[in-house]
Amino acid sequence: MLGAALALTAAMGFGASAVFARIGLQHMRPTTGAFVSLLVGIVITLTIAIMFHWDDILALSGVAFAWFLLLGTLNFPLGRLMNFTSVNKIGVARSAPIVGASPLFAAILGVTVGGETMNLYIFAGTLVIIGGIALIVGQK
Amino acid sequence: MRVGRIEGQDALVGYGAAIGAAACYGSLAVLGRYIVGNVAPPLVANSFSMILGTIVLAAAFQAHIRADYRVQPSWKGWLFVALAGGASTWGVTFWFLALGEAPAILVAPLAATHPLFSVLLTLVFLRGLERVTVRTVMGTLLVIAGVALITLGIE
Repeated sequence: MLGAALALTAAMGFGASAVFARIGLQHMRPTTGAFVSLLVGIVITLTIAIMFHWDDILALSGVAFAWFLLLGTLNFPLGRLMNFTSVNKIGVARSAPIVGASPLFAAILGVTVGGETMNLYIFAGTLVIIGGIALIVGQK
Repeated sequence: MRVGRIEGQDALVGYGAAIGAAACYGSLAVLGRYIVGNVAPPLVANSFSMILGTIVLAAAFQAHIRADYRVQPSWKGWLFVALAGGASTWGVTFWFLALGEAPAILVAPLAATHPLFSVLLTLVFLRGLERVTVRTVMGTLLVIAGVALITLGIE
């Protein structure tokens, strides 16, 4: 029960983020918006990481930072910037559901690159997501 | 700016960017799973990748950021993009906390309901700015159902 409540609280945070971004991006470019939002995120996450994982931070290797660079570049200059750009151009109501379809791409990668097998759930889920996105994109 | 009809280049860029963001976040799930399992704890990986990602973003778009800083956008702009960053971090933190309390098969579909919260909040707070249609709500529900099915298939 606690896990479910925490997961829904996470969903509220993600959901609210897009709405806040929509309001803020009326006053600045998506690049600046993404930059400022990341600065706030860094302060919060780094504080928590230092509080709970100080020993792990001290033990990080050089290779770990190469992985973080790859993860960070994919997530923030690419992912968040495109997310903010879409919110700015087509609005939250149309952008959020499409961005929320990211597990579809994870499944595609898992099947094509990761050697996972396509099963009925993944196949049906893919069709349902494509149908949902088509409904959103197809409207005038 | 009121959103009613979205056409032409705005639609192309907007939908393209949304699909691009989804592809990035989807790839992150695969890459992140490896990093969290083999390189560093989730919060450490998230904070350091955020620092490095911000440096890359600032280096690539410093002209945009400087120009926006020079024209001094209203306090509302700064406040709400800062809140967006805080809310997103809130989401990530609670996601990890949820995974500590419940299996991913329960956490992932529930966390995937976030577009529904976006649409609901849009209805309440962005009424003058955006139009939420029945098709948008139906499309959102279908995407959430599809994500839940895929999560079941992967788990």
